[in-house]
Amino acid sequence: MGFAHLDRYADRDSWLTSHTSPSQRIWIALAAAFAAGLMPAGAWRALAVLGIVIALGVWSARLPVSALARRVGQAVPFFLLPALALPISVPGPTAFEFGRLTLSEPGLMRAAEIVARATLAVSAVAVVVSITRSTDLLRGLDGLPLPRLVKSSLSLGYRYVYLLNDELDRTARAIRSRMGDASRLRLWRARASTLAHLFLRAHDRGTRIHAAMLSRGYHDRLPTLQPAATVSPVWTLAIAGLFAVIWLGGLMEAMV
Amino acid sequence: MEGFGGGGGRRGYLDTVMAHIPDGFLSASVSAGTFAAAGAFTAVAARQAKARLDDRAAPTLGLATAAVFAAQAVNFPVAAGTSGHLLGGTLVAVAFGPWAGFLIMTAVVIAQALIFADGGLTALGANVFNIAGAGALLGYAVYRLLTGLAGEGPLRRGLAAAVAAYLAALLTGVAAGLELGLSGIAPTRLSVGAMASVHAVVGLAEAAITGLAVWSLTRKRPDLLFRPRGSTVAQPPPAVVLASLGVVAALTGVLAIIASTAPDGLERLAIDLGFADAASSWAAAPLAGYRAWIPGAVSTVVAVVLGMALLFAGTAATVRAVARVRGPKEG
Repeated sequence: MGFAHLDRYADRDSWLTSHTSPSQRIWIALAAAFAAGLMPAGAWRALAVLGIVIALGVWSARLPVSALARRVGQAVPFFLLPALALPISVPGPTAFEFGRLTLSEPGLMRAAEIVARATLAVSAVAVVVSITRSTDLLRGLDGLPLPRLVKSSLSLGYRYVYLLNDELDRTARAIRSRMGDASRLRLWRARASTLAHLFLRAHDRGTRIHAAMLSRGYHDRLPTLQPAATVSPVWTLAIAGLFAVIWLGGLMEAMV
Repeated sequence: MEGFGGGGGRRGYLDTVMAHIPDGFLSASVSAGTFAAAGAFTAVAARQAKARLDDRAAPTLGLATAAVFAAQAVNFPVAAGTSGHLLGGTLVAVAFGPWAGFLIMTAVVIAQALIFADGGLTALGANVFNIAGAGALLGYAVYRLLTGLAGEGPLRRGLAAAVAAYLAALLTGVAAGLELGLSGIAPTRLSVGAMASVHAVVGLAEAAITGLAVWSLTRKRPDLLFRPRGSTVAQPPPAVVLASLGVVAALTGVLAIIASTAPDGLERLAIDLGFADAASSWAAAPLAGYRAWIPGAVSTVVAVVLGMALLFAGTAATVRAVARVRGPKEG
């Protein structure tokens, strides 16, 4: 198995892919997500402008709207359900009444803002992730201020998760064929024991990989043979700057 | 792959829905503050893990990260078609040490936010702080304290890990609730109460899975479990004991406050929906002598339980629907 479905739109050429490198695109996604996610309450016009810019980004990436919608839809329950609790739980003047259930005005307002902010932030990240190959994305993380161990964990984790998953699949098949009618308690035990095995194997494999890396001249750094693409940062700076300006505009709008 | 997972793509389950704060919920100041805290912890963790593991650090942590991802695809059936899965913070801390565990969970949280839109980028600092911090660091501190007191057999280690995982899950919820409250999303008492009660339930599955896995791990290969440097028998230093006791006391305090103030919003919900009357008349008969104070408390409890059940059912239904539409291969 693999994560091939994540990279389905990664090889299309578009304005966005030819004017930005993968690592630059991560910065753009961060700028957009921060502008959207941290937009102050009440800055509806700034949010609208941000939405238009992100929609332009979708268009310039030649990403099918259905593909984007699938990706964004996957994230919707994560923010929609908590947001839906707000109209009921936040105190304030009543806006609607359904029988004995009252929805408060500030609660509705807050829920609407959260849904708008979250949708825009998730869309921006989804565009970038969709049009960038996972391996490029991982290499693009090099530019971020993260400890090297976290970056190497991400790239090695990506490389080996297929393998461990396949091992788990085989174990699962074996358990199913031997414990078809086992009680829930025994199944939990079997699965927990499978997890323990998974971590043991991961540990042993880590030791073997370390030996293999050493024998190939490993010096504490994961080398790459693929040179990083050199793309002028002008467009990235311009786009990220635009997001910053919109966010500042939102701050001013909220203050007025 | 009925019930076992292994599809590789992450499907959202209840506890991830609850544990990861999405974009749009945190204010700029809370986002900045949690990023600073998470950044400081990550830097310390990187230094500590490096000192301990040297150049074995990269492969060890990389494989452990892959293992956490794979492990999260294993479903543990709970009831009525819902299932839980491992979050893993306490388990990796027990197996690989607290600081390595922190880095592993940080990598997992980053991948979830970037690739699966599970948790927001503006909330990345908060999520690392809540999930990796509480799961690995606090979980390990409690585990260490308990094994120091109780001993090191497989059963004892398993139980210690279960308790540690439960408290860690609870603290993850309390921290997330505090951050949401500080961001002005909902009254702090309310958000902390809601998040803590959700995690009080989710934590049960996490505790059971972690406990069973550690028990199994100790029976198979006790030599592989993380051992604090310079001690053959785990004898926690006084600082660790004090810190853990402090954290446990603080948690109990928070819970006591939540319990005693019984979130206003939930009570209002109970009254709005009419549970209050139903609950008090239902409770009146067997508990006549306590009528003065029982009805209010019972209606709150009934409202909390019903609200949680609704939230769980709604989330489960939505997540399952989404998972079916997205259709990760399940052989």
